[in-house]
Amino acid sequence: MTRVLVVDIPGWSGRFEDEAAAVRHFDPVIVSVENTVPLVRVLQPGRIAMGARGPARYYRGEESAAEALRAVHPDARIGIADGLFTAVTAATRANPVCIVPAARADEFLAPLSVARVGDPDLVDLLQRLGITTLGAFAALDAGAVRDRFGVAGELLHRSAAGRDDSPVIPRDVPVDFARAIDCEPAIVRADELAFTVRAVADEFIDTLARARFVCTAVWVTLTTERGDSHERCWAHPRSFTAADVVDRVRWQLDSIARFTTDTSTEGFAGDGIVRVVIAPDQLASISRYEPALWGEPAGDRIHSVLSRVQSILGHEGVLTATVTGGRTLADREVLSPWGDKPVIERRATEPWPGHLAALLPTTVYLERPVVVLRGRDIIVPAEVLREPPRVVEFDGRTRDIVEWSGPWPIAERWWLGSVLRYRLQVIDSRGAAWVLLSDGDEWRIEARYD
Amino acid sequence: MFEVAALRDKIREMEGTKVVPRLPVHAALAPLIGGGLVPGGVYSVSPSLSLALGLAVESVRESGWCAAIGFPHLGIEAVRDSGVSLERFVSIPNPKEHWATVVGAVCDGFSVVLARSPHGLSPTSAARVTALAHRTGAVLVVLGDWPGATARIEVTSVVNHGVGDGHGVLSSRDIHLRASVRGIVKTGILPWPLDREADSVAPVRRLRVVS
Repeated sequence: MTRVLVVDIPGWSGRFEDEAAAVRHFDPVIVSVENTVPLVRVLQPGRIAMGARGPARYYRGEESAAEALRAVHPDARIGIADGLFTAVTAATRANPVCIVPAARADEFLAPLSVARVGDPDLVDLLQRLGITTLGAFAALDAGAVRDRFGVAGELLHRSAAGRDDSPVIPRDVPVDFARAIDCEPAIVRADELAFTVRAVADEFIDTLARARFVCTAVWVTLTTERGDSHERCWAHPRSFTAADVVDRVRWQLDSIARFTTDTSTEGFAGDGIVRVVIAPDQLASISRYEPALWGEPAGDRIHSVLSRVQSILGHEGVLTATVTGGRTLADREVLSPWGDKPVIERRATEPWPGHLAALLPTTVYLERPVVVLRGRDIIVPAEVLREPPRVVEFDGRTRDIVEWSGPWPIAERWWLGSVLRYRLQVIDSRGAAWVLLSDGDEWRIEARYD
Repeated sequence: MFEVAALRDKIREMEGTKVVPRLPVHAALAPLIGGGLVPGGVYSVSPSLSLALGLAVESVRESGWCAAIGFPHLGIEAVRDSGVSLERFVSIPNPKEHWATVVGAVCDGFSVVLARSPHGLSPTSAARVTALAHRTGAVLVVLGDWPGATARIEVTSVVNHGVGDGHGVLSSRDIHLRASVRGIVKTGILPWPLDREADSVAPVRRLRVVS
């Protein structure tokens, strides 16, 4: 019987807005597990399985392997048992480690609720038959179960008896479904790549559909001329269509292009894509997904519209907004791509001395344009106003200042000896109101009321 | 001119075009644009986000989504303070050359779309976007010129309160407006922040059925 180790982080998906975000954020955890154990299978975001023998040998014992793997996440729970089903069950009951000794799976499972087999129809039926524990289910005759509940029922019956010996296939990629495209010559442009991938993506989804599967997470691997491989798993809130797959390939190319131009002097232009591999990461039975094809809940309309816009403009083309803590106006805004959970670094509930609390401006510049502030005779220095500002100059234009207020200091990490910043409100002769910010060297436009 | 408009209305009435109730709008703006926003209407306004938010806020206060397209420097706190729920708000800061496509797409599902009109939009694209808004019932508020807009509202002047010579802090603004709807011009004042009492504006009914 195969010993299986399961790492489970309870409630993982609930921490994120949607499945896509849960999968994306789970990636680093997978990577840190893979640093320890190379071949793992992702059961769902927040849950990984692997053969227990390798880690047990490496760490000299299952207990020490479990301890070592707990380090991947503070909330991680570890279950080790015979077979995947028992190991998953052990992990969900672990606190924080549960090891079921070899050949004792049936004893461990017997008192637990039959609901754990997971198939709601089967569970409902069993409970109406008075079979409420896994032990009672396991006690049924295997042949009778197969006749009544078919092959799927038989598998669950084996699981309930602690005799689930389905192998742990790393990353659960049915090789047959993966598709590779070799590009000759190499492709540099995203639209060209999308065009090339299109037909294969259609075939990829069709093949899955014929096998009665839908794909909810897909691995895209792009190989460049230089031989670099960029692999990424993309999840989908429902299931992938061919167009969705093409979008993910394009976005991935965009992100590589950005990444490459950011970090290397050679840039991306000379390094085209020579190979694209699309492989399913998670498959679900098509029957479970068919209802979604008929009636869509109202919130899905917004989601589908925004997904479409993201397919045109890229993942970061559509942003949701959150207000957070901070002293400058730009610091107080967090904009995150649609579908991602915002990353809040500064809490809005803490006091932020010096932040503009009064009437808030409608336009806030992230990169603040430099202005020159003139008094009657002199350029107004940035640290103190030695005389009233009369004119503000920027972008080659001058505006007369009719009213002004400030400057107010913004105390920021003064204990670390950093510069004091000042804020100034000015109103020009046309009635436009501006917020200016100085860093001690220059005045810049922080915001505008328009 | 007036007769042509009246005749056109009469024809529309005879054709049995359904009368759609107008969407609520800020009390200071209601009298300027005939009581409320026309679902599917396109409002061409001066490049003032305060005015755009003032037009949008009442129709998305309880439900419905609002999008801002083409505002990379949007003041998020001001959006929130205006009463637009950030839970039902998205910003599409740079639609680039896909402006018409993106605006058209977002109109299908969103209640109000605020968009900065791009340079050099072809009249054909504009007509297509107008038709899309009309079909989906989304209110499109365009900051800039728009051919055949339901209403045009421009900011004529702004009076700022609270700032003096070196002291005080900007506390409120009176945004003076001139609106023209089918040749009828009216003036008014939008208070900013929007929840401030507008002293010089008479109270108005929020909803009015128009034919």
